[in-house]
Amino acid sequence: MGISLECVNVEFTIGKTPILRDVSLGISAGQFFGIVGPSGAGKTTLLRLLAGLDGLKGGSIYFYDSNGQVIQQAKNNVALLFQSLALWPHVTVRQHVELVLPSASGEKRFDEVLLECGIPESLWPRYPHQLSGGELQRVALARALASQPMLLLVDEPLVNVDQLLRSQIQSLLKNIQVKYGTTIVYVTHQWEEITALCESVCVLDRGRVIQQGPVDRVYWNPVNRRCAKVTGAVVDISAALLESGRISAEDKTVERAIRILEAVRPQQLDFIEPQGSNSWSVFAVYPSGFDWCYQLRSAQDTITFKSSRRLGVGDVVGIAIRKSPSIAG
Amino acid sequence: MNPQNVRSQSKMKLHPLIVVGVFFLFLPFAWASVDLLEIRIRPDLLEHRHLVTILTSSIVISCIGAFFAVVLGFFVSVAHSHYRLPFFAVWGTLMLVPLICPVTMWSMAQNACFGEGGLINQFIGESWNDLYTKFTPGKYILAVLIFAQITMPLCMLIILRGCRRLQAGGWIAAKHYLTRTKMCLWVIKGLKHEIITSFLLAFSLNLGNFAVPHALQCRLISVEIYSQAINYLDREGAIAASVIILAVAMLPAFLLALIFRRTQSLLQPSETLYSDQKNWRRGLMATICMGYLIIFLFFPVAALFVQCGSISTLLQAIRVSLPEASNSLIIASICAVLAGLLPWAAALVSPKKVGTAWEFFNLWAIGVSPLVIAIVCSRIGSLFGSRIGSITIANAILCYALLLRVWPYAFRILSTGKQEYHLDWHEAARMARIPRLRQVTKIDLPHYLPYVVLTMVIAFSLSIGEIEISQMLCAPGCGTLALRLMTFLHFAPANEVAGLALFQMAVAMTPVFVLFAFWKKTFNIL
Amino acid sequence: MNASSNHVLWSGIVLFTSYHAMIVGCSSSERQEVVIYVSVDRKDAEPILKEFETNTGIQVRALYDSESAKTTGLVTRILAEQEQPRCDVFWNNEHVQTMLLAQRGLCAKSPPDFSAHVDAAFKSPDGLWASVATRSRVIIYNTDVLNYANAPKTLQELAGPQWNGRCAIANPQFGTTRTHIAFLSACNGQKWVETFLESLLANNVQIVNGNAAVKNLVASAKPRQSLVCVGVTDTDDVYAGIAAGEPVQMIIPDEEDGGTLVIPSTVCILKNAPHPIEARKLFVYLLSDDTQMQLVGSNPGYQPLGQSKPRGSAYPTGTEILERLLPSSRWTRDNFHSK
Repeated sequence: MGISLECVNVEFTIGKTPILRDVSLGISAGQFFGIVGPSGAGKTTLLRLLAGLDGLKGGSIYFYDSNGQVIQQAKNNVALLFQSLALWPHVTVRQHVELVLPSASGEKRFDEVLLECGIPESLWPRYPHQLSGGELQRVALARALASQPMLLLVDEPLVNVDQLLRSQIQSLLKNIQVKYGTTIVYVTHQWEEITALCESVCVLDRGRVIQQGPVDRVYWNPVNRRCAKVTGAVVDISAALLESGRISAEDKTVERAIRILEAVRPQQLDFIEPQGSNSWSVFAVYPSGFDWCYQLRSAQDTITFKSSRRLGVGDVVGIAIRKSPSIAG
Repeated sequence: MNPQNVRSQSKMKLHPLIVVGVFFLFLPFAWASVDLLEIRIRPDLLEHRHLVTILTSSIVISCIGAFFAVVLGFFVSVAHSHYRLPFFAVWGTLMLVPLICPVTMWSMAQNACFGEGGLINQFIGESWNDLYTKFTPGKYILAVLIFAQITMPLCMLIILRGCRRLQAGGWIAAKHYLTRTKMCLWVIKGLKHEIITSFLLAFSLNLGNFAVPHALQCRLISVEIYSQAINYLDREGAIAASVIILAVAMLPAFLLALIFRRTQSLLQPSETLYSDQKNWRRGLMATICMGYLIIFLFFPVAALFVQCGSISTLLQAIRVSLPEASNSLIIASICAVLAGLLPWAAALVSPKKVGTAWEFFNLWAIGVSPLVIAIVCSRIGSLFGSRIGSITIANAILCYALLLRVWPYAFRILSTGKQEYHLDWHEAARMARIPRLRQVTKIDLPHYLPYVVLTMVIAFSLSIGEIEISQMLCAPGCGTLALRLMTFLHFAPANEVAGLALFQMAVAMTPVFVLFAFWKKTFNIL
Repeated sequence: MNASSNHVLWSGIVLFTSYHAMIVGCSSSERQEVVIYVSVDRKDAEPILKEFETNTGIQVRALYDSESAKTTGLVTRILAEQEQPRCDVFWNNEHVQTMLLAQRGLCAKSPPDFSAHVDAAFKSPDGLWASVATRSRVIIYNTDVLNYANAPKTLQELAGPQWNGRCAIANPQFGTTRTHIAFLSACNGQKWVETFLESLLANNVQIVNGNAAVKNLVASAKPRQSLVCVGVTDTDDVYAGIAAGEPVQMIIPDEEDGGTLVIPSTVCILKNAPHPIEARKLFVYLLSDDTQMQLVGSNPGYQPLGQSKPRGSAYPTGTEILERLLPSSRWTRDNFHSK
């Protein structure tokens, strides 16, 4: 079973530059926890602090076993999957795992680890420079799993990886979590990976935690526009949300308005018949994958969003919010 | 519930200067006299009018030699960077031979090929002699040729580093957008620091070179300084007279330190990016480079073989010089081991962001003449007195002086090894709880081993062929092959001397070729 | 680089280090030794010293000179080390600087019987030094360019217009050339020497680093070219050239005017030598007839002592030459340089 951990007011600086400020979060045992944020948010730094590679400048980090007892870092079985993979160039695939395996483990564990990560026996005598990108990823993962860690820290492993390999690695990680109950902390800047893997997420921006919670709650109820942008696609819109679910771009202060909107999720928008001020004319259309990207213009505003529905330039439509509003005004 | 902070990473606080400072401690000690007032300039050396003539001619010859070295080095570096010449690892290594080869032997080889009565003379006939004697009063032109050859490899390495920087800085865009002339100007402008530095370095090495003018018997300032030190035992006067050599030598070291510091995070371009398989110019460049090697490397060595005359002469030379060969091997091996370990320690404790001062501190000796190092170190021997037991001390001082000479090369190679060691390897090992000793043997040492071995091989070869330091510091009866060659050079029959020179070359160069044949790894050592 | 290559390399390094450690260890055993400074050409001296080693088992630590580090350098070294001598025996290729050492009290007296067989003209009266064999100062000429008839016969002729730019001499600051100048000064007076040397300079004489360089320069002269084809050097250098098949020959200059300088090769034991017993053995060995014959046999430029007595009563003594040494050296140092 994995360990749980808690960060309390963690701070880290390099020189006088603050990297992390007042970071507090909690991760349950066996949870697949994501840390997301734009570049420079401090995600990797936080991960390195959890791994014990860097020292705290302020605050504390607590680790708890399954009984809720505090345990020391030195006794934790923590593994880190580096963004650069950090494979040793003069060590074979087999030796990468052999070096890490506890001496008490036998051949069985060794075989288990390598085969579990999808590394065939033909690759075992090879050196890193003789492997492809996907094989390198697997070896790095095998090395991380060799010691049966209770806490696995994963630092953006799928940055330069194709879709097929991406889904394979993701499945592998999920299997590990389910099979061993390992707590996994997954750092990425891609929201799609968070939604695919994680149960809870923490949003970091400029060294601070701006939101933390279950993935869907954070997605549908971001605390501010910045958080919304970090956690997925956003449609910027300035309009009043009416009781009927329609929006009025004209008058944002009518009494029937529930909220004044600044942005919504694209999934929340739908096309309806134009009515009154809720009239948007299509002035640009271009394909975007299997959808269409539209630029709609009203008398007061212009918005851009994607939809699978086909419209032509010059068409006039109205817009309604399908689900409950998610962005604060 | 007690708060448990995450263990912070421990850092080694050892100041790097302490390590290197201990090593360089002797130098000011050796320089200063017991009574500082004793340091004086010997007027009878510096007031001689003829010395001005000799100094002027030395400066001119050194300049011209440096110029040609830079031109050749520039050509080879840029040609390879632009066209990715084929089999560069092979003939790039051969290009380094004049730098690593014993200088006396190299001078003899060039003289045997291009000098009066040499191989070329035998092919071309008397017209070569007429041409030669017309244009080479006092063998100065031959000296220029040899200076250019022995300093060209350094220039090539420095400019190659600059080329790698340019390759990461838009070379391929320049190739795409610019005309050939503008491309040339772009390259020259981009490499101007490297060109200036390599010129100054070649110049200072030429000016302080003793072996070449001694072998060719042409009167240059280094011979005068040596004569002053040896024949008059006026080391202070000799040091004072070599101030100009020292002053010139410091500048390229400083510039090199600047270059290395500014290009610490050098990007490595893709190997396939600049491949230009079907370009006829590539073949032409490669042919020119091979032609240079054939004319100035293979022919002179062949000329030495011709001069030696027979295998029996060669074997005889080997037989009679076995004691010196053994001494040479021991001294060079000790120097090689020290050169592999001490600079490695200095490189390991180098700060993460290396400053110019630190680089300069480790590079200052690169342009300093071994003659000057020898004169300074010989004072250490004087301070220990002259008891017979000081033969051990003499050998220790000899090894110390040799180590000083090879230190810049050793440190550079091992620093590169350290730069290429990724910190996250160590962190991954830490995360994996691998015992420290196992980490050292399985991860650290395999990475550093090629660099340490390369350093030891280069230190070995440079020490075997070194003459200035050996001549001044070797104890009686502890002669080396280089010393034997020096004392026989002008007194023994030419074929015997040629045999000895070939033997010395074989001893010096065998480790280099064995290393290359065994490893075939290209080292980006600058 | 794979693991097996790594292992081979590590093994090689260990073996290499162990082998040399073994050699060092073996060679550091206690053994009798003697230190000798030698300014006789190494190719001539080394076989003699090696034979001494073989016969006696005493290790000879020899320090030789070179074309750039001369006898003067060895003598200067001995002077500098006089408080704590490192050298046991000094084997000089001439006699004046040995006399200089003796004059300064740096030579040890050897028992008379050690050099009893040496002619009195070739040894110190008080047993401080003795001679092994002799050479002479000669004029060397290129036989491809000249023949005996048209080669110069006297030193004075070298200042003649027909030898303008075609004559070479070694640097008179060092070695036998230095002694030769002192000899000329003792024979003819300092003024004569200065005039002679100035006329050589006016005649564009080539000043080279050593006597071997003079021989090399003369040997490489070609007909129809005004290159150096005559010079002043020692007999052993001339014979070395002849033995190597070079087109050189020599002329004994000034035979009618008292002859040329005869240069005995001298040996002395230094005072307070660190190995006095071994030094005496080496001293006796070097003075032996066998050594003399070996030296003469290896290079006909050396002559046995019995055949080398200087001719003429005007021939200056060694002491007279020694007296002229420093004044003439000072003059040449200040004035005799290439233009």
